[in-house]
Amino acid sequence: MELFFYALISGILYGIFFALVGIGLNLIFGVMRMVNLAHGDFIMLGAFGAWLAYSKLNMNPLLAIPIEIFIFMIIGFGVYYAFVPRLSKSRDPEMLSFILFFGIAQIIEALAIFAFGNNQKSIPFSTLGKGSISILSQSIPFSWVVSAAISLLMIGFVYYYLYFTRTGYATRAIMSSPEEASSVGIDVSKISAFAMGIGLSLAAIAGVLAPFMIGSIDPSIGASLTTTSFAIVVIGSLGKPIGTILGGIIYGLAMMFMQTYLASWTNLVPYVILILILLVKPSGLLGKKVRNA
Amino acid sequence: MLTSVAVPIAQEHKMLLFDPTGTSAKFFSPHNPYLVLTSLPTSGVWPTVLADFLISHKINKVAVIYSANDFNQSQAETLKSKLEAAKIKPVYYHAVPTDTSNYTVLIRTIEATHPKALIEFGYPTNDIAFLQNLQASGAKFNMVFTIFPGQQLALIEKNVGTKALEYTYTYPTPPLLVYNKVNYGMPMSEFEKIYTQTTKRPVDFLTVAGYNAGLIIQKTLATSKEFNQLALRNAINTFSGKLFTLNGLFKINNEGAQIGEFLPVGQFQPTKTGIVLHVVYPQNIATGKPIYPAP
Amino acid sequence: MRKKNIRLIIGIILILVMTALFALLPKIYNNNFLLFNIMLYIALAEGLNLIYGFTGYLPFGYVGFFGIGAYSASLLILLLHVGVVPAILLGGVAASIVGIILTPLLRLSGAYFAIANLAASQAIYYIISNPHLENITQGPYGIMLSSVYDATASYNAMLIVMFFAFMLVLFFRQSRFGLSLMAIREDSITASVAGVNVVLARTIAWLLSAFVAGLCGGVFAWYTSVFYPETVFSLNISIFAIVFVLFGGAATLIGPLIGTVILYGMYNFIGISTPQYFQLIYGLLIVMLIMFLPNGVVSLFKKVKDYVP
Repeated sequence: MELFFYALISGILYGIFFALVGIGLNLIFGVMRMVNLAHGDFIMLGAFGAWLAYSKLNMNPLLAIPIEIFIFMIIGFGVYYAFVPRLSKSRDPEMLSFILFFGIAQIIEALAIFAFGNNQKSIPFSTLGKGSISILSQSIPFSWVVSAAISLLMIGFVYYYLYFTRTGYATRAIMSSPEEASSVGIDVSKISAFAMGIGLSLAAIAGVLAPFMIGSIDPSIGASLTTTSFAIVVIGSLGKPIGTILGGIIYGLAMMFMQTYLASWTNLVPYVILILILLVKPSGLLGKKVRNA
Repeated sequence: MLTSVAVPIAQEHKMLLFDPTGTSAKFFSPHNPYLVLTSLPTSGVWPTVLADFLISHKINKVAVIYSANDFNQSQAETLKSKLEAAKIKPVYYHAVPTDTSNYTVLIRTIEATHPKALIEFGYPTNDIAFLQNLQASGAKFNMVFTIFPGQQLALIEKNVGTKALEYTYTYPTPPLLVYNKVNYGMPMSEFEKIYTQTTKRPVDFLTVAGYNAGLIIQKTLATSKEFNQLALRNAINTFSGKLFTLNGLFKINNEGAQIGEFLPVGQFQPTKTGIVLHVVYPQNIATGKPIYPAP
Repeated sequence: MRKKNIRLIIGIILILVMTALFALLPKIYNNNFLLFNIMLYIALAEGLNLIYGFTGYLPFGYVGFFGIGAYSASLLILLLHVGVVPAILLGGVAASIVGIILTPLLRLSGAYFAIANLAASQAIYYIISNPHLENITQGPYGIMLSSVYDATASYNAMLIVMFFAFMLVLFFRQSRFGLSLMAIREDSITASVAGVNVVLARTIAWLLSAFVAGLCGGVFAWYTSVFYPETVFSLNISIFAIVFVLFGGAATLIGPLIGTVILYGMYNFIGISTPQYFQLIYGLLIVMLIMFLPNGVVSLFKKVKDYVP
């Protein structure tokens, strides 16, 4: 029974972090109808940012967050204006963007290997605080609690932005229909570029926390993070950023319970959930439509 | 992984393949004389001494967690069958996917079985994640064993910190295991000096294995009377079992697998300046006594 | 003569020349391993072309069929003592059976299909490599087929599979069946109104594509003789085949061939020792292609496009 509670609590904390991992992908998809297949690689870059801050500049890795938000906003604008307008006019934007971002993922991974090498890098967990905390009489590593709290905070910001600001309101208008949004005078490309920036920044922030939640990092972790993110987003609801929290927590719980009771099958979890959801609840997924929440 | 491709190529082209560290038992077969492993015994026999250590110290509640791949599973199975032969049934024995990077919940699950020793077989990535999570979890075990600190100490120490390695056990390999009595090539002390001077990098096991492969090839060429592939292989048979290098005894069986080396058990013990590795078993080469249970 | 017939003749000549070339090359060039791999990737790229080129479904998990083929053939040989050639054929059939199980995925469109297929291939990989199935699949220990090892025969088997893949693509390229597939790709509703059985046509293309990958897997297993689950389920196999098709140009016979010969050749020069250089180059290539040449190298020959097989 004690193991059950431990898996439950750590699953929820782990899941909240993974909601942050997925949310940027979902935001970009919701606004642009484009699958950012390089999502995991942006997370990886964010993680290396934290590692550089810690090991080269002797900073607390969390201080890398504001710097990375700034940098990845700029990258987001660059990526948007370099590719998206041109792709949107093409025959099949969704599929072409999918392949394009796959190419970008390869470029990022190759450059990261040049820059950081193939070896694992890690940051001691104690930089986020030593020891453990007792929750429901289970001792949970302090670094997990901190990471989950920051994840929750960031998701809160996204929520606030989407529902309580003017640009957020415009963003949601574009999500439901770009044509209508543009007809009421919303600058679709500017707002979309901003959403791309936010999406990549969220990926980078998840990256900063990754060394504490996922463990040691190396340039090749991007691909599996992308698939995992996709699974989480699909479980929650594609195109609805807030639904990602649900997806993250389901994923986190499933992983932790599998590790506790059926360790060797753990890796099947994200893939099986993904396929099941896609097949069993295909309602909005047929054709080009997005599923409704 | 490269070896699995190279073995059939070598066989097809009838070219002798010298392999520094390809330890899967599957590579070797009596039909194929074109393969010689220069360092490390095949992975299945690695835990032999470890099993003896556990049995002789009456550590009878053992937890084994291993990554699901050929290299690690063969070790886990050897260890399990040796322990079971001594009437010790592991209290926890599970495989995890090789790309597992978070062991926190697993460690917790293992803790609940109250083992007296926790053995983790993994690749370097696994060992790093495991040791990191172990330290962060605050769980205490009397004995913790991992593979790669004994081979790639610098890498592991950089990632997990010295503290996380204190009192843990491993298979020490050269340079942690020092062979200065050699009859071919440089002894360890000399090699270490020259290598670090020239390259400004520390010596690790892979460096030693590379140098050792060079030594074996050199000795083969010097010994063989003819320059054809099978003559080269026969030449190796003439000095197999007689050659002592900085990697220990070089001896191959009829399939070309290296059987001269063995992997003892070592423990990292704290000192004022860091940690030092003591070989703790078997007794005849021990350099220190095991500190068990770990404080 | 009609354009279509000229194209057919060029196609047949091309196939015969390529087959003869790979049959004769081992006599003058002794790196059989490289030749084998080029044939393997040509066959895989052409097989992937059947589904991606003609229907627009991008199978990111194509490697799943390759792995199934390799494992089914090997296990039939090792456990049931089936002869090598029938075992490889049954490996292809096994891949098609998995294809049938996965047909519901065809209901998904675009990126969803691609990701779901990727997930499926990973799931198959984790099932086959799971230690609990060691008695059947040998789990992570991998497979050793050295008892039936035959370098020449397995090389020739690859030659035949490549020939078969070429012929399938040529058939798709020339037949009404291929045309109706392309009509579905462009607009499935109009096509179904015009009397095309959309579901059946797609499914046939999907199963044939899986069959080719399964054959490739079986022959690869025979040629390599020692392999691990991670070798035959490596995502790089999917990625390479996709990139080769995209680069050369989908829905043609010659496109994947050009893509494989040029890019695999390049990979062999720079990629094996320093894979990240090759990864960088093909990453850049994909981005450039999507932006400027979405139909591949073949689309450069606009003037003669009706004659390109």
